[in-house]
Amino acid sequence: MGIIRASKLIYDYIRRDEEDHVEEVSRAIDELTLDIRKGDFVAVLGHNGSGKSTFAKQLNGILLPTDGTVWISGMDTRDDSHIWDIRKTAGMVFQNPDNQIIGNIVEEDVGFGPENLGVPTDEIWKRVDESLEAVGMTAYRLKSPNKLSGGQKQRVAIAGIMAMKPECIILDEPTAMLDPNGRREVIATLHELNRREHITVLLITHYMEEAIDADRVIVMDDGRLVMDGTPREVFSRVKELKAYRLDVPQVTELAWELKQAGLELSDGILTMDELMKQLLPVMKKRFPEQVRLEGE
Amino acid sequence: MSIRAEHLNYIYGAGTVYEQYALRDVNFEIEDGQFIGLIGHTGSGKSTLIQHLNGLLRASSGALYYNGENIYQDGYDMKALRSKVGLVFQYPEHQLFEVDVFSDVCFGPKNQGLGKEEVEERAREALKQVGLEERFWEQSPFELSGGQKRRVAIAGVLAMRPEVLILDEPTAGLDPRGRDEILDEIAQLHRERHMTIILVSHSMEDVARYADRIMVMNHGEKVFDASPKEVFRHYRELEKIGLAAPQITYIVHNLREHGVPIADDITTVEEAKHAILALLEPEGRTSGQV
Repeated sequence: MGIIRASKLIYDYIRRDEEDHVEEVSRAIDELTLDIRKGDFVAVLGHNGSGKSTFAKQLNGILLPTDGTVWISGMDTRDDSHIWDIRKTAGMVFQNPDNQIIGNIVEEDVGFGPENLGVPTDEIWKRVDESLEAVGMTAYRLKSPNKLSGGQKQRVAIAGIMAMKPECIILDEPTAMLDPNGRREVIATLHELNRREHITVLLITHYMEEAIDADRVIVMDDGRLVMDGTPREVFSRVKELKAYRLDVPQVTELAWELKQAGLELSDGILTMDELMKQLLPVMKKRFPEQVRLEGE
Repeated sequence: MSIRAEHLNYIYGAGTVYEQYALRDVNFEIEDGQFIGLIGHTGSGKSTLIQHLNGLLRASSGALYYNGENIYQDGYDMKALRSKVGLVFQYPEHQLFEVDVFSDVCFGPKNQGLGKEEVEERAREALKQVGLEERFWEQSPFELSGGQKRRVAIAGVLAMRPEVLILDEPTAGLDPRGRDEILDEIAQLHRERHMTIILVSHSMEDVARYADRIMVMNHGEKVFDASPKEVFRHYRELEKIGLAAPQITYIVHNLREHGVPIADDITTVEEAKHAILALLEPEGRTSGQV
């Protein structure tokens, strides 16, 4: 059984008028069934309004199902008595780092979570040390968070979650406000945590490149799960992705276009290295004198 | 018609120990009708710079000319400047506040002192320019999707009929199609209305595709100012200042390093595709299918 499980999950946003009569019901999640294995790095894609964020908020009980069930580590999110355990198990990081940081200095901010869980002081400091180390921010522990770059702030926010010893981190577009360097920093940090600490990562993003190193990519549309597979499987289906208002990384798009034009390339090329491996031999045939293959 | 900056300096905390240059000796001239991409890492001075262009910030020293007039001279009409140079901030939808979409877009021109008919005419035109269908106009802006809200906010600036439109990361947080739609609409304004566009962006791919000139900021200084092809040729230097080139540029350079005779100034998927197919063409490997 997976660490995150949803069975026929339905969530309706209900709008009421002043007399509390239902004015409008809009279905944000529509019979979603999903099972996420412990330790996986999962990227969630989908256009604005596809239900990704609503789904994320189901995973630590910020929102509760209208129908169906969500289990986190086997705990039903509708069970009141488990709500704090669920929030300890599944930590959330949001888009805007400035809305999530409250401490005057970095270490204080990271300690805020465990302090609120009633963790003893010695243990809090130990966790602060470990968490800052894990996200590579130890050198900044006494700095003021507002002096940090966007990427560094997000890493502090992630450390704050790590200090609560979660099994799983859910990130809702954590890189949307960052510059290219900040984006790389945050994504590399998440892969580190996933690899070294075996934290399950659920990364919601609009940047296709951020999904290529995931173990699994899921695509949502109209509150439903419409694609589910490895990055290679999902990004091979270029036309389908575009129909869902999504895209593929530039490398994948170029490879796909070349293949459409008749070149012999495989489907779902995700990285420059893969493309080179296949494209250089083709080029060598055309320019045998000039072109060197990898390692030549 | 142009915007000209001469030795612009902007100093925070001048005369204190915290003195810091947010802009240092910035010079440029933007001709009418250009599409400029403004890039730089967070804190490089991009936002400070664009706030100078419509007079929200005043340079510590140096001069800024709009259509030949120094905007810092006594009696210069700053209010008029702000309607000519429209600024769309990051996440502009956070500034929507009216009860319905149409009223929100009317707010700007109404404050310019225009009559009701003119105001409404401009609002209608602006909403059409951003491609927001009429059925949304009476709705509360807060009920719209992220992409639609952003369109309303951009329409609010367009309704003032600016000559220059500055957008600070207009596609942040939008899905890929939403990004393309907004950028295509901006490109259309540029093409059909000859509006000067300054696009601040963290996406090198977007800047490569739309801008005809790129200015790169680093530590308050302008470090590059040239065509996208020229700027991205310096991708290694861009990396040193926290930026990068479009993914395609890396592929092209990698091919070149392996001896493939492909041009070194390719920055978009389209260009790369055509260049690669053209290279293979003489052998007929791809003919008949292209």
